[in-house]
Amino acid sequence: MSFEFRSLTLKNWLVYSEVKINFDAPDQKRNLIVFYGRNGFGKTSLLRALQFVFHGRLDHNELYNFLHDPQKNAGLSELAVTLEFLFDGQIHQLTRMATISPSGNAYNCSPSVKLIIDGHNQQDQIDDVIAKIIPKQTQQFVFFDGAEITRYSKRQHEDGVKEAIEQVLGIPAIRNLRDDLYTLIGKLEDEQADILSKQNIHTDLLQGKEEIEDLIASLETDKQTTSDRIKALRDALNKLQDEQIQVRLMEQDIRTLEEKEKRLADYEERLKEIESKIDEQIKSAPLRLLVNPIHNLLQQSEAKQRVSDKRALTQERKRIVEEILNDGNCICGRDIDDTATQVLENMLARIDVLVGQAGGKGDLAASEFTQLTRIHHDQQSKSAVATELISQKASINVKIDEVDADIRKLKESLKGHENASISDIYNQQADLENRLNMELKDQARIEMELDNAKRKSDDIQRKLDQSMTQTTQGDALKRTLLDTRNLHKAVSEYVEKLVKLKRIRIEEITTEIFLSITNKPDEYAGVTVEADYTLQVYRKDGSIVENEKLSSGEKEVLAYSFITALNLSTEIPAPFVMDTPFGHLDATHRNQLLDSLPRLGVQVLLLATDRDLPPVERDRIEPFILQEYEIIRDQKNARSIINPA
Amino acid sequence: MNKQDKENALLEETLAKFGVSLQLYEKTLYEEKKRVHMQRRRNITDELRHIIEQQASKDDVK
Repeated sequence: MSFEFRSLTLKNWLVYSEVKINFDAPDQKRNLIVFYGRNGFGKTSLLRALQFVFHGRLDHNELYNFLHDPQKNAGLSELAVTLEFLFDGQIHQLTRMATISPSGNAYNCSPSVKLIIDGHNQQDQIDDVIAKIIPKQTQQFVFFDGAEITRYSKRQHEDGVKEAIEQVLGIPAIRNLRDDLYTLIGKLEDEQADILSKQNIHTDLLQGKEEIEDLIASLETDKQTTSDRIKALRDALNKLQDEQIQVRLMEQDIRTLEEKEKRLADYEERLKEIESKIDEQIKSAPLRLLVNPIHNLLQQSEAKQRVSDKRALTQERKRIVEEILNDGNCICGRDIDDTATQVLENMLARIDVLVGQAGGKGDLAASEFTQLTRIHHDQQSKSAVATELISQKASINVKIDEVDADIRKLKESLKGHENASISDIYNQQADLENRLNMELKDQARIEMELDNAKRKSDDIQRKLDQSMTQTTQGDALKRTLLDTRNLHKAVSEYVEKLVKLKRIRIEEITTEIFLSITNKPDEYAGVTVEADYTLQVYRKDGSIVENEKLSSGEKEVLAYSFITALNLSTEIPAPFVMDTPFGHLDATHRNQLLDSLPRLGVQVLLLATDRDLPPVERDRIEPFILQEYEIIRDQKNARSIINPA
Repeated sequence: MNKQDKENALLEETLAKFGVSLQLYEKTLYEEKKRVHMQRRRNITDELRHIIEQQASKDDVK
């Protein structure tokens, strides 16, 4: 049995005016049909056409919006999508169309649908056949879009997802059979009671049976309520365990915060000490404040020292002039006359003035100079201590700023959980476990009472059944009742086991596909499919990866693995239509997902941009490509066409 | 054993345990499936009863 698309014909559908695509039948080796197209060229229009042909119950306005080039075509036009496909050995031709004609200021749309199977019109079976092939709730498992599939990797499914999954697995029909058989048993028993009461047989038994049935119904309700409470308590315990992990991490942060706050207090203490030392320095050493003026003074003194050296030189000059005057001869050997003597005497007077200037009162005495130099050195050393203190102060301030920033960051991350404590969690856990144990005991008691009541009911029923053989009508009824009860028991047991079996199967396939695609094959060990079909990835050490912590790409891979597993678990797996499926995927994920497509064993229609399937990747999957099409945009006529690539 | 074989084996084993024929199960399930596909749940106990009684007469003839 197989399900393959054979052709798709579009008329006035979204970006297409007239297009027909033929699909080759996949074989063991090649199953990929690729459509290349840029954004806005019409890939999603193809996906929507396939969704429309199966489940396109659109209202008039929506139909108008799907019409290609409405302004040009709205005069009187027909919109139609026809899909030809092979299903269960028969060729099906499904057409959904609408004629759109103007009606005043609005448009009149007349939608219709046609189904031909192996050349025969099957108008009256359309809904049944479509529901059998791709039930509406399950179409997202066949036609999926990369941007939306991550919804299946959520920790909790949205409404209707569980039902859709079970629909794919064929579970609801069996469950309904079980429930309808139960209703039938009730009806047959009422009928039986009616026959017996008319004959006045075992009225006491009938009365007893009625009472016991009421008791069973009430116990069943109690059982369900208890079971719901147990589930809620278990969920709460699981949540608490998650919280426990979070709190453990938070406690670590709280400890770090406490340490940092202590360190901050220490730094602040040290800062105070340093500031106080600096204050002391300032108070106890006013001279220190004069370090710079003293320094200047010393520089001036040194300068004056140099001037005093100049004085010695001047005095030497004076001595020479005096010697010349005393000798009365010039150094050139000639006698000095009165005029020359006058000149020399004037020179001596000027030298005296100069010497007097150089050795004036403002000059520092040697002892004063030494004392000043000592003070200066002393103050310089004190100043070094102060400089060190100031540098320490600056360094402490930097550390305080750093610790303060860390504290602010930690406080932000702990907002609302400042008082989180593992002991609180333990207390809550103990309380929940206590309540859970009580509920479990209650459940065991209810089940025991239920078993007893059912046994009693069966005893009464046996006695009533025996009495039924007294009439032909009763005999036949007894037989029908017996057969119905046996069928009901068999179906009840089978459906429970079947659901489990299918879930395990989906879990195996999901794990297999996920591990073949994930870029962390050494870290992840598999995927668990829970009873409500939610998914959990677990690591090789057994720990669970919280779904919220998976990256967008990983969620996409997880959802893809699950959807694929679901499809492959159905009786007749459907072709996959994937619209730009690699949106969040890195190169490793994308390549491994591409590698997994040929192994699916069903026809795969890949609607890809050049980013989804670059030439290198395309060449790698070339051996599995059955057909390639290119979506081309005729911009002049504002329409798209599809050509073999 | 493939998935279908496993499911079939489970079904046969369960039906045998309660002495129910595969034919009866399939006929009643088919009746249910028709309703599921049509997405119109309605009471089909009369149809089920008819199938069960018919099957009982067939078994008696055998």
